[in-house]
Amino acid sequence: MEGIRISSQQRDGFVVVVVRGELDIVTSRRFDEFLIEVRRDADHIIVDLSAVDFMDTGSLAVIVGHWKQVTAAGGTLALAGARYRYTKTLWITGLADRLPLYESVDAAVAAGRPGTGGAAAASQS
Amino acid sequence: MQQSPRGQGAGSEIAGLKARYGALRQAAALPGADPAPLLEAALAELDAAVAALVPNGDADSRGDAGQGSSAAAHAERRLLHAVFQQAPVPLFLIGGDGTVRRVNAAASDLLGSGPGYATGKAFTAFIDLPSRPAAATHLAAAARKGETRQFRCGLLTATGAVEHALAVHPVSTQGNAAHLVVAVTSAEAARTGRRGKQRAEPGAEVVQAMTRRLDLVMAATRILLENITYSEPVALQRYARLLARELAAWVIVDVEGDGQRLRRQHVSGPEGQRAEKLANAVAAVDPVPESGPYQVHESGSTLLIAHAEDPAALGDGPDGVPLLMLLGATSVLSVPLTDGEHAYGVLTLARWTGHPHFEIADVGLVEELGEQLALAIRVDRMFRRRVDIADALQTSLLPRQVRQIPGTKIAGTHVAATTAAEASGDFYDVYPSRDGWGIAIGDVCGKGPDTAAVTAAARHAIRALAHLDSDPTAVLRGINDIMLTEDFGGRFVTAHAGHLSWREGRLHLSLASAGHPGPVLLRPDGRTQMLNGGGLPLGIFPDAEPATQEVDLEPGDVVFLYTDGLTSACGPDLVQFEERLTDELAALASKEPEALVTRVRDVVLELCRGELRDEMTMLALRVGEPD
Repeated sequence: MEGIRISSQQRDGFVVVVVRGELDIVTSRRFDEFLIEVRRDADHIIVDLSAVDFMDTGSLAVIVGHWKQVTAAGGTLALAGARYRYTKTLWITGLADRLPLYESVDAAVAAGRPGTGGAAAASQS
Repeated sequence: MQQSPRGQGAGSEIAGLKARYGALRQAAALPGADPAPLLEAALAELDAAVAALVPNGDADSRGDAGQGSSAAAHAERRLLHAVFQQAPVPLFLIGGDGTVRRVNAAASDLLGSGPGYATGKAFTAFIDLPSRPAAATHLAAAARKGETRQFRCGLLTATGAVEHALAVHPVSTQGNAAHLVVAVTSAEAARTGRRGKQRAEPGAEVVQAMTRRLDLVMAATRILLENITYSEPVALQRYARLLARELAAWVIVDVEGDGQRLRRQHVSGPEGQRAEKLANAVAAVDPVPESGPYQVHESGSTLLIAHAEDPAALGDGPDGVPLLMLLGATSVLSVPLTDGEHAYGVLTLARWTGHPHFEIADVGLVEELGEQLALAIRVDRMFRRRVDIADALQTSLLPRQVRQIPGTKIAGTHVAATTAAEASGDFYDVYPSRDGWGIAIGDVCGKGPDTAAVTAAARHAIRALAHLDSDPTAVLRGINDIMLTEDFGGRFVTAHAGHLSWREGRLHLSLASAGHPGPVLLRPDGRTQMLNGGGLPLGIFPDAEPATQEVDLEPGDVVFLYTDGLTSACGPDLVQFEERLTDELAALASKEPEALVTRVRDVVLELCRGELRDEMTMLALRVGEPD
């Protein structure tokens, strides 16, 4: 319950959202609100998770929700710098293999606008 | 009295009357004055005055010049009026029909009402209920027989019902129906000490009264807020008790029940066994259409009966005795319980003997209290409805009691998160399946107002699909399809579904996984093995294929399933329970499932110091001997 700090910056056509701290049942709501705000003006988003110390499945659901909507609208949402030890839920759920995941923000930017990073797009049916 | 009138016409007679009246007044003002003889004297003077008014000295006066005589008569009348008004004894002039024609200043003071208030009302309305019939008899007898009657009765005064001695004296004037003069003769009434004091410090009195009312409203609010977790009847009961005590009145609460019928909810009164019995008797009678409370409910308007003349104002009791009489109440104030939109019932106050009657000034306060009570009822009903729904849903998320599979022992537990009051997203279940048994555990990830509904749907869908198909992989695949047809935003479900069947003395577990943390297989000797898990969460990808694993379980083996709330629980040092899970389980290998889950729960709660950031769920199955 250390709380989080979230900020965003422009970089090469992406909006990079930097999250620091713990993403849990309390803070994931703020994370969600922040992403809603960012998406008003941006179609290509990179979420920098390198300073995240904890991530629960609820926070993961926030990411999945935005990822589904962004990709359905033709945009991209990539995750960068996630550390296995602190964001284990990404791997336990198997979503690390399905969401566009990059070593670092640099790698995500270098990949350009890779769509979904090779993963199948979510169906909204 | 020293000046002796010597039969010199009306002028001297009036002067004598004046002098004697002055002396009487002085005598009455002396401390310890005995009102009885004073009254006698006053009555005698009144007689004299009446006699002087009645023109039997016609010849005399007519002999004088017409103009002067008329002016003198006018002066006499004024004097007599003053004598009546200022007589130191409360006096009522009552007409032949029993209504009050006039009261003097002392009587107005006694009633605590302005001049003219009593005029036109039945005199008996000012007499306390129990003594009312006897008083009526005395009045009638005095009028019929033309004689003075004296009796004691309770009079409804400004300070409540107080026993007084009354003297009824018939007065007849020529050609007119008999009038009665009623004089009140008791020490308290004749003296004005108490009211005099009140008049001296009206400011302090008013402030005191306002403070008292504010205190009452605050106490009432507190009761209503504190009782939010109790049932509505309990809240109403406490509220009624408070009002009964603070307002010194019977408090009757009627609430609209099923079919919009007004029924009696609660009655409170003074403390004591007798009062309790009376309250119970009144509580047993629902308000009838003729009664005041019923009409207040129908009309939505307040009813104030300062002096209840009609004993049927509250309807009749079980034995036909008017409730008003049963309660000994003489003043009634009935207000609707309404929040401005809906009328929930009626709050009725009835003052008994010994307390002041209700006044217009009370109406505002009691209406306010009624509205407050109505708002509390509304909030409480809304709250309760939601709690009921939440409770019902919670039981549909988690079984109240885990079903037991033959040849196994199973225990499950769920602990809600301490940091956020969100509806549960965890579920577990044990159920009969096609050709065997099923166990499931899952977590609806992502929050939303209908999380509980999604959780319940997931649990019951698993159950239903397992009834048709013994393959847990097919079950989870079905859940994925179902979830994809709905838009749940980013929410997804991670789950394990297992199928259990006895095969040649071994329990076979076929486990399907969808992105859920892998279960632990705990052997009797303490060895542990993490089962695979795998797969992808349900509700995101159409092509997500559950992972599967086949396990043969030996007697003594324990399968321990859990949600990530357990493993992510951590203490102040940020060390998560995940790192200790297998060690803790190894130490519990010989325990029965019930003891095992209890122990793990306790260890986790100790680790996180009771601050669980996510809900956690555990399900332990221990294999016994085959049936």
